Amino acid sequence: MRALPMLLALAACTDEPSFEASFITPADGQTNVAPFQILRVHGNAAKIPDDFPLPDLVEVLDLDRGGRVQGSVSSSDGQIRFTPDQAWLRGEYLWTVRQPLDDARMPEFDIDPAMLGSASFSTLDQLRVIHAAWSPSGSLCVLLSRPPRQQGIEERLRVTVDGEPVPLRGIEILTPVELGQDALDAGDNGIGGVCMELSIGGRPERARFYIDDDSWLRDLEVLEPLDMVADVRRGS
Amino acid sequence: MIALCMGLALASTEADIPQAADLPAAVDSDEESAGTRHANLGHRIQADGLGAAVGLAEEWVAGGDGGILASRVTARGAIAGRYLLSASLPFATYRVPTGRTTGLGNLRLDGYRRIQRGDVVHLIGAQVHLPLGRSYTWTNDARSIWPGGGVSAVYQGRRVGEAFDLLFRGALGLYGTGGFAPYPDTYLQGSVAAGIDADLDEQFGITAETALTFWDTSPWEGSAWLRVDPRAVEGLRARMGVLLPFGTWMGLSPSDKPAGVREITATLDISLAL
Repeated sequence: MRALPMLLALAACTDEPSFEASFITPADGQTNVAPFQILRVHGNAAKIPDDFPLPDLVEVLDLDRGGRVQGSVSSSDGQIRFTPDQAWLRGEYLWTVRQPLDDARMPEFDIDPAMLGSASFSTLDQLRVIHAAWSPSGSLCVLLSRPPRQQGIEERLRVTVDGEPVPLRGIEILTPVELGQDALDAGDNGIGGVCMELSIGGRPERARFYIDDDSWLRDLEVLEPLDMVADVRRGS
Repeated sequence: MIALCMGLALASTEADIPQAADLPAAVDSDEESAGTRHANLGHRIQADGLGAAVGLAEEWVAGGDGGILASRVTARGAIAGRYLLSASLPFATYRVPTGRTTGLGNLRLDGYRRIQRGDVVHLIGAQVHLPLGRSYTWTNDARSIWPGGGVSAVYQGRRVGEAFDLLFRGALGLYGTGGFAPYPDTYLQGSVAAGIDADLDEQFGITAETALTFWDTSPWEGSAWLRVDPRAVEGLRARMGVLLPFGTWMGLSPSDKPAGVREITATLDISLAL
């Protein structure tokens, strides 16, 4: 999983397709997605002829207004891309990557199984908790749906364990490099992350996170931040 | 490889082999084995008769994993009574995710030295495929339609019999493609085929063949044709047949399809011997 940032950088900085790893952009749960951001399945995607018509590899649903989003699916340079016909509207979306059923006697679309399935994203500016885990060094790390602003996160983020508020110490915002997204596509704001110390003994297995009026209950495994990123980007 | 060695061995003794003109009338190619005079013979085994012919063959892969119609135009001829040349170009209509489309396949060029020795006719030569189209599909020969090219060394033999002719073909070649699954970037292909060809009467005849091929989209198949040479039109031949892709049905095809009978191939061709 530590190879993810390097592979992200390779995918963005070279013309060579990277078939050693797979990941999706935007990440599952990402917010503040730009109006014209292209949905991408990077690496280990189907290697198919450039001009071969693609089956329904990607489907996007508009969860606020209902219905399927019209757009075009293309595949080249180790990526499958969904480009919407029109700018994303304000709201929530769900996109699904799937293995086509009908590929009889035609190029086979062997998509990495880790890439298959659904992921959500939003064009709203909300800050949400999309993943949380203990780092091996003992910090509690949280992935956020967009990069947080330095000022404000300390006041906005609260944590409770067994219903009791826990004081937070040393909140540190993870850098793009630490999140493996220092070379994202232009216009992709990426996700954010913070790590902090809890002022209690031991490692609770579950915690509830609050940002403003929203809350998220998360089971806490022991993971490196980059492994958490791999989870929300389906990295493999 | 065995076929190739046999071919080379035969070629090395060519000087000792009596030529067609030296042989008795009983094995004159215009008189015997009418099945070999036209543009097409078996699925892998090719016609070896002297003389020129043109033909149009249809190969229809029907069934859930099929939906492919490949048309093939073939022209063949002989030079100096001992060299056989043929050119063949397929055109396919086939399924793509958005519906159906059409396109050219790979141009096939054959060149053989024909050696007739007693009641056995030998062909030694090469078969070349050149990609002309971008039709990403296949029928029962990996090299036919999917864009790719390469060359095979070929030995083919036919033993002329009173009741029927015995046919054999062996080939070994190297081919390259675009590397899109299920095709590899490059592959070696070895193939052996055997069959019979028989005249039932003055107008009707049959040809049957079975072939083992690796690497190929049809690793093992059996095929048969019934032909008619109508008296009314000199040189015309019409055939209909069927190809059963046993290997594909057994799940031996390199495609990721499981075993099962999901397609069958019907064939139809007409040929005019000139």
